[in-house]
Amino acid sequence: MKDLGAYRPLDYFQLMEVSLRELLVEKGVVTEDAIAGAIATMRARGPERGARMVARAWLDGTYKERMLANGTKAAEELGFEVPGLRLIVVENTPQAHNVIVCTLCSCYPRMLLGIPPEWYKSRPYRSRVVREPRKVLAEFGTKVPARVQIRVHDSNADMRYLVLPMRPAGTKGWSEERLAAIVTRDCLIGVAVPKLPKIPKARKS
Amino acid sequence: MGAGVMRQLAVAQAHLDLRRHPLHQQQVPETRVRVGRGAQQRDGLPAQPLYRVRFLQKDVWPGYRGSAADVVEIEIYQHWLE
Repeated sequence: MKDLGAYRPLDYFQLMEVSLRELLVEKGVVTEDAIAGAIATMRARGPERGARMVARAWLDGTYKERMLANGTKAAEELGFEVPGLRLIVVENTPQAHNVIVCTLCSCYPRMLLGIPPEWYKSRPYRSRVVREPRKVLAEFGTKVPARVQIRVHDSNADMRYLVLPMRPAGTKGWSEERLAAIVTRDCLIGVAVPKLPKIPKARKS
Repeated sequence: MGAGVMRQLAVAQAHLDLRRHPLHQQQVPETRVRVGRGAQQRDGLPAQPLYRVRFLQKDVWPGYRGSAADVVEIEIYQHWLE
């Protein structure tokens, strides 16, 4: 039988959201259609934009320089708007690994990565990754050698961050699209690093 | 982080590259709501410098287990320090 879920009354914030939304519609400030459209756009957005920026930076050294100097402008250069926010791009190197968190709430470059995953908003991630980043990264399968410095970036005020991962070996000659495909959301947050897709070994006959 | 920030800031200043130059001036978000439109009725001005400040993890967390070079970077508005 289909699970319809248990009935639960709206909590305070849900009620506030419904009230505000209905008022805005009633006063003619926005339409229901416009709200539904904005939600659909937001839901449909994934990390593709952030991945595109990374792939471009891997292929074009001058773009990479511009991106590290001003992330917002570099995003806009590819047609991605970053309204009202300052985007900081942090580069992983053989000496340093970057990871992003918002310890206070769930600040996240949504315009480039889509809706944040549940774990990013969770209290355990937010409190632990600042305190024991190496352990948390290991839980994501990312073992950072002791000689590599960890840099945790807390977007606790007004900036948004994006990690520029290192380009993995074995990707020489790849197109921007092919490169972008290996840059996952988790790589852009810094809890993972790009890996080549596993190619099943041909069976010897 | 909260209450320990001021103390840690002094520690960080003593230890390494506290980035003194602000990345940008910005209206203060918690008071940015325009006059007559919002709950706070303030304009968020004057714009405040927003710093990224880097701390050594071992200075922030007693018994930090990781590399001595590991850092955490947070954002601090000028007026939070005054």
